[in-house]
Amino acid sequence: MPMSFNDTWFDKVAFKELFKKYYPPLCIYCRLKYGFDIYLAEDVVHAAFIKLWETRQTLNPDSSPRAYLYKIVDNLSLNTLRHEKVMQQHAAHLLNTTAEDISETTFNSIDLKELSAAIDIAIAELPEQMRIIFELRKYEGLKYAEIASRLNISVKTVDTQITRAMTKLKEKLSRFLILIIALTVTLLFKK
Amino acid sequence: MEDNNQYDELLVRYLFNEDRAGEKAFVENWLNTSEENRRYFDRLKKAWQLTDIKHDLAYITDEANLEAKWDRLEQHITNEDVEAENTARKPGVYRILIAATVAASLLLVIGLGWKFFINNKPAIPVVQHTEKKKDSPAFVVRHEVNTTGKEKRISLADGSLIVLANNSEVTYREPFTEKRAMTLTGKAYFKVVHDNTRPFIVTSGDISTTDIGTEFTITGFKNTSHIIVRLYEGKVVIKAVDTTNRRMKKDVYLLPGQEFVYGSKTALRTFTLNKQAAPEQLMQQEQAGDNPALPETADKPYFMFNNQLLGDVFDNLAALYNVKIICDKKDVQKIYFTRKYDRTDSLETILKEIGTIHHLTITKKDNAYIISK
Repeated sequence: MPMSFNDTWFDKVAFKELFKKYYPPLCIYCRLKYGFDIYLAEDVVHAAFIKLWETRQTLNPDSSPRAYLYKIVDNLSLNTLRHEKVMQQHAAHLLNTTAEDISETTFNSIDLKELSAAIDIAIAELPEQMRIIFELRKYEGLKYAEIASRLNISVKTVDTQITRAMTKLKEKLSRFLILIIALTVTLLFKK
Repeated sequence: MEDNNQYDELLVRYLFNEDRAGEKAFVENWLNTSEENRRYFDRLKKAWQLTDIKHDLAYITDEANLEAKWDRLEQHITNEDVEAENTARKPGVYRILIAATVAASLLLVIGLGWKFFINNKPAIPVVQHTEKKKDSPAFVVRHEVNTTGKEKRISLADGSLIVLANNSEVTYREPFTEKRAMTLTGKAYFKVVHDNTRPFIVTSGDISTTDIGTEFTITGFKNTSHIIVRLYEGKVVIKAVDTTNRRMKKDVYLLPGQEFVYGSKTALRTFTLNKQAAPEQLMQQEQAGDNPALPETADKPYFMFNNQLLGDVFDNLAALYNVKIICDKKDVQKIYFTRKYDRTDSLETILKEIGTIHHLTITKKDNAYIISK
């Protein structure tokens, strides 16, 4: 349902509805686009909602709260990067991601619960050893060599298994990739 | 796309930061050779990013968590609204209540050259509240940035009041336990509810101002030409943050009506107290008084005195109106005067006004005015 500031949304009930609808996707958006950890992303989104609440009476009644929220989150995130010296910490990540812009409109159409379930299933469906190796690298942060020595296999096997895991995951999650990718890593690699 | 399979291991290693010598450059080169290569890699990377947020997604879509986050937000906006209502609707009552509970109060910090956010920050002009979780989960760091273009009132949990000027920011940690410490950049007015067990300390640049006993302290700014601490009520002590600071070897204790200027010329001055004015008015008045070198007004239909010694004011008036003004320097020492007059104002009116403000008697004798206490 397309909400606009025209609705009597500025009462608390409507504001809560807005919050429940947009809080999770905004957090994930901020998490992906700016590479913040989820808690920092939550802080930013929290601040964005406060800002929306404080300025509710002065907003153009025809504009969309969704677009406005994404805009505030973008602004606050950039400020955070600029001011909090999270900069250094995230510089590496940004180099890798900012070039591709995550589009707010398509992003918001993703059902996060569906996405969450799809990721869980995709990983769970990997052959067991492959899954274990993948999870050790991804969620335990072990290096290839460490995994190899822990599982008593060769580094080459780890390499192959993780690559296969990634290709499988890519296929299984393909319908979401289109939504999230607004393409172009171009800026980054142009010399 | 099948052709790319041979590169998969390389690309995945690249994503996982497991690339071996020379591989990184190779991959980047490969990506540069065609749009198709980039698209291929991009999909792989997005899949990789999605697995990255697996746990975050579970956490953020959890209904109970969402309810908890809403409660936190609702509490915040409710407090804001109550605060706004209090200041907007019943200013009289509000002020009396504050006056009754304030022991040491009304401290003002000014810094020239405080941050002008507007120039370097295309941010939305708003008051921002940022909360940061610290190691101890009970504490929340509050960071108030005011770029609304006007003063912003902040009521603290202990009953103290901060009026934050435009382009200024203040940071503090809540809840207040051992001490109430804040850092200020820019300008703010503090009305502190005194608490022996929890000193109120404002740090600003090189100096800090503290509320001691029935007193109070304050701080300075970073990278500013000078810092001014003005005391309206109570008592404060000002200290150098760095004890080896050569500009300020001794602590400075202020009395109401005194201001301390920290900078290239450190000085203690007095100013005229105006007890009726609201904090916002006081702040604006100060702003005018902060520019000691105002432009010459000879060609203007008015003239003004800007925080000048009363003795000098009389000398100026005598010259302007071509009369003699006689006063005992002892009666007017340490009195500073700021006021704007039209050139058509009669000298009689002006002197009468000054006399009323500073409790001086004006007597006219021939072509001279005699000022006495």
